[in-house]
Amino acid sequence: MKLTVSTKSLFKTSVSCLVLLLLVLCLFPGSDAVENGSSVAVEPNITPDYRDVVIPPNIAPLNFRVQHAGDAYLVNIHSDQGPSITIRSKTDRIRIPSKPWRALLQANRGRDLFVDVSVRDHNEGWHQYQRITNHIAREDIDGTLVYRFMKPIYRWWQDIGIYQRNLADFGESQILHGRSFGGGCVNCHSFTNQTTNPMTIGLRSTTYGSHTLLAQNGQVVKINAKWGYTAWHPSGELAVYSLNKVRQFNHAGGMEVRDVVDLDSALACYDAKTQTVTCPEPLAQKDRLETYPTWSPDGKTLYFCSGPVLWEDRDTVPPKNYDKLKYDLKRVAYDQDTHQWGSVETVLAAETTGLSILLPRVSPDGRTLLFCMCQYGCFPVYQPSSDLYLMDLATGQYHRLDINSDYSESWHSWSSNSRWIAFSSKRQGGSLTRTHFSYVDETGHAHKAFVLPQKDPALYESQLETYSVPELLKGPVPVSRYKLARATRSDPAIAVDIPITGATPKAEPFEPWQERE
Amino acid sequence: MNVGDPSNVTDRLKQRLLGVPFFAACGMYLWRVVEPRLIFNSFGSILTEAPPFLTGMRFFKDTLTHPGGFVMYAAGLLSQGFASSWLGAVIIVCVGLCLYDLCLRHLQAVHTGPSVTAVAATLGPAALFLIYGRYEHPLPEALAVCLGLLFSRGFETLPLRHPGARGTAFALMAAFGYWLMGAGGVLVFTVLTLVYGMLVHGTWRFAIALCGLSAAIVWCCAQFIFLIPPQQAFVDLTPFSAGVTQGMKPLSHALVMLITGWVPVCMVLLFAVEKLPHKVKSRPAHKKNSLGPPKSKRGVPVLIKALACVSMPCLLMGAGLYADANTMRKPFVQAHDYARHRHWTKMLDLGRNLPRGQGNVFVNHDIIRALYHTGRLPYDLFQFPQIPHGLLLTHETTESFLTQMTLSDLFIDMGQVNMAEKLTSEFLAVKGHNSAVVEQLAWINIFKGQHETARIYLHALRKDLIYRHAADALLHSLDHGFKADQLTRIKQVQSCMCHDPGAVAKMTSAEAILLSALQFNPANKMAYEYLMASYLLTGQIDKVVLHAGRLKALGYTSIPTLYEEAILIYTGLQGQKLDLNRFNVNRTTLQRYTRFAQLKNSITPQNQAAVLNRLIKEFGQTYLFYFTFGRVGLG
Repeated sequence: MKLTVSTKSLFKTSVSCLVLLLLVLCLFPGSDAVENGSSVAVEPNITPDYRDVVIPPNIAPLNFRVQHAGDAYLVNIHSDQGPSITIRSKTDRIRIPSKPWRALLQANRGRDLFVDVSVRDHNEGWHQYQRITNHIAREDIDGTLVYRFMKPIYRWWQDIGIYQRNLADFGESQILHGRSFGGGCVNCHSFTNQTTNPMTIGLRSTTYGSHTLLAQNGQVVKINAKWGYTAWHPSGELAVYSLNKVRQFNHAGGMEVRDVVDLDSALACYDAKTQTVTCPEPLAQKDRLETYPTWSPDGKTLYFCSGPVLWEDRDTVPPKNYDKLKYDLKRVAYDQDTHQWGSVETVLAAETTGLSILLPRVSPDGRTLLFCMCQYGCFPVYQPSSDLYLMDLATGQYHRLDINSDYSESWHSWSSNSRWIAFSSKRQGGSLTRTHFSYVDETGHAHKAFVLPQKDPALYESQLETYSVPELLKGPVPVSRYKLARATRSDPAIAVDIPITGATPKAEPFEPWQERE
Repeated sequence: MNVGDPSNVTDRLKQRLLGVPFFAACGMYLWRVVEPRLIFNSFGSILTEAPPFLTGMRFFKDTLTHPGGFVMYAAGLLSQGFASSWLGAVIIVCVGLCLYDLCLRHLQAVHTGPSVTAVAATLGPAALFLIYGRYEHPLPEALAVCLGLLFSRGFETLPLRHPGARGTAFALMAAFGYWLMGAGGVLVFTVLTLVYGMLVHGTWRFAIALCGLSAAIVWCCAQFIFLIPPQQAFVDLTPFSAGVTQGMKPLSHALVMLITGWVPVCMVLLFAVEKLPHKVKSRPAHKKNSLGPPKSKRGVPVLIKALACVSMPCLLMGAGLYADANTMRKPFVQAHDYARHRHWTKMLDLGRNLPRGQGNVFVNHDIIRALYHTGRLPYDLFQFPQIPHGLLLTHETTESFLTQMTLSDLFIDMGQVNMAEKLTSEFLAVKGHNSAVVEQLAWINIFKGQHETARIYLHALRKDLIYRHAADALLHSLDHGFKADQLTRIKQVQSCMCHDPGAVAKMTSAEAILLSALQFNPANKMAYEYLMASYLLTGQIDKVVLHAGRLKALGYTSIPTLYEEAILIYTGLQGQKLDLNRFNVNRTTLQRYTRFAQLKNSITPQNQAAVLNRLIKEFGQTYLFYFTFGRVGLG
């Protein structure tokens, strides 16, 4: 009796399998049918543009959408080693399975990765497009990307969060959201040597005030000071941050509506051991606007940007000659043992470049410095002219990177191995920033950039949010969301007094739009 | 309640039948009078707190990460139905019916009179309909209340007697309910549990403990799951939430409170009535917990009683509508609707039929816009009552979102596209997705020639059930070329746009905005006519004369009537002779001016009223009258 039942079920299963197989065969003609199709002498149009790019061996699947009409799609991804990946799809959205992708990339470090795309036209049969060839780099990219995610903001906001993304897959999690403290703003997240100890996040809230969250050794505390752009010393014992009297105004014409100007700015130092703040004279000169600090990896030099104050009236917005203000790239030596600062020297003058030099970031190997240059001012993300440049710190030579677009490139960061950069680009139309990556080889050549891959390959086509300030980290932020959220609503545990000097920007009543995107 | 009792079943059926005329009448009122389509078209401008809805899992998941996310999602989905008036009315009535039915079920637990409970249960829905009659949109709050009532019924019907089991069930339901319906629903659920505990079960200590438990659950969910401040956690989807308190007028706010609190309050009241000594005496056999209504044994004829029950809610609703009547309410939303759809002739018709002596700055603004688009602004401005702030909505110290969105429309027409982009983007950043705003941004990017960005907005718009077709049509236009009417509009806007990326926008005053628009593009006819209108409205006739010199350059073949009148007044006041070489004023205007001056000068204390009437009759709609008397003379 038992035997009869199992025979019956075996028969049923076999029939079901056969039917299923027939169905699959009917729906998707075999590979020979593709081979019989016509070949097209061009590469397929795919979006996002993942063609001719160098990719990290630990990146998530580069899902894409084929921009050719068809009723069936066949994609074959292969390299020298390991099994190829074949994806058959009825829609133009190609979703690459994670496991085989990871295995293929890991097995082929330093080799080319080929993508064959075929599209079946209802009347004409299969069209096989020219092979797409990408290259898998030998070096990994740091595994975590931290960014601010929000709608483009002007004066007010409601929905701003800092998120982290696992670059090896599509895992995204929230680090801190403004709704945890009454729809506040979170900004200026900064880390130490691509690690999270210590890390700081700026908070702006009408209910809970404008403070800074400091996460260190598993503890989260609130500092009662509003930090601007922050650079943590590699030792994690000192942070240099900017104090900005920033004002927003609008343009009546042109692509970008928003513009900002620092009516006044200076740099301040926070000593984590003594929990005190100082304003060293070289970093806070009365006739200069200092901003965007960044440390060399050895912690002996602080780079920053500095521009002359071109206006006497520090209240009128925009001030006179705001569009003539160009920042120089400066540096100053620092002795960690004695806490002594050297004298400021100019690394690259705006007079030489004719452009405003902003956002310097030294590569972790200390050899190169990546920075932005734009026509004027202090805020490259609002300047369509902003491009990325790379300087060889040994020779002082710099060049404009080939990865720039006609739109703004800014907010760049390095991977800890100095081979990858992440940056914000508005190349998708000029309004919304997306995170892009580029491989920077030993010679300082930056290879074609590609956008952060998403599970849904069409995501960017309808996403109205921007990804701002992308920072590469070796690992995820270990502090829990709960701890950070709770700390935002707590009273400041660290009270610091900013010493008032002639160069210290005056304390301003809180205005929401004094924030940065 | 004895469910199997046939008399109860009949009574319940009767109660529901008693509500039919009320709901039918309200449905008709909502459909034909209120027109929920007007509410839909107010989303993103008049109704800034309207719940958004998008198709796709991403929006669904995002919405469910908030307390009350389910209710918000459902409210967003149902709100899409408001695009059609009849469907919107059906949705509102259905929500009202839910409130009614759930209210009945709760009231039956404490009171046995079917007529009284039936009438009482209509008050919640009546409040809801009244709010909709005020063109406000409390759907999320109403849905949260419905769910709260449902949870409470579910909890009361649970076959659990042990306090521990009841407490556990309550805690689980409160936690789940908080996620589903926010604090608003949990508040209703908790208060009702308290009422039942005190009135029906007689376990008031336990009920109070459950209230504490509910508060603790909300607090814990806020702290550990949703990571939001407790003060926000306790008010979401309640009448005290920011969305309700900021977005609604006080009476509507009070009505939302009534919807939320009506059932527990009513239960207490009916319980008190039921327990009055004379009642207890007259009906000693009636059990405390029985829901079966007693038969009417008194002399009131059943038909009259039924008629009273049917007519009472309708009368109450009618009284509410009468007391709350506002003749400008509908014209306000209708004007907004016409302006959005660029129905300028209808707009002017509406303007002509506005109730006498009533004004609204936004309606005034829309009329001025319609006058410009029909080419009548320099001629017919004073045929309508004027509020000088209406021109550029300068009536608020801090611009509301309604002002921002209305100005955004105007700025697009005027070629001030960057300013429009700023205002609409601001809305999106603060209020989240709104399809009308996203469509506006798509257009702005088309005007600016940023088609790639426009596509992003249009693809986002495709996720809206109602706007999907519009998005598809525009995407098609982007791919295959614009239609003639679209092209005309694009060219018109582009022709008066500022193309200098360095130009700084000046938003300090209406005059500064208009002057800078003219400075950026001297061919900006709309900016010019608005500037002249602003001078006319504020009596700055010297500036009208000054800027009249631009007329030829802007393609005017003759001086528009209102400017002629201003020029004549100016020269008259200056004691100068009119320079006919400079200003070729029409002979009719000149005669009108002379006649007006004669009549005006003939005013004596004795004939003041009569002359004024003649002036109004003959010159009420001229600038001569407006300048002299500071108002439009409309009969």
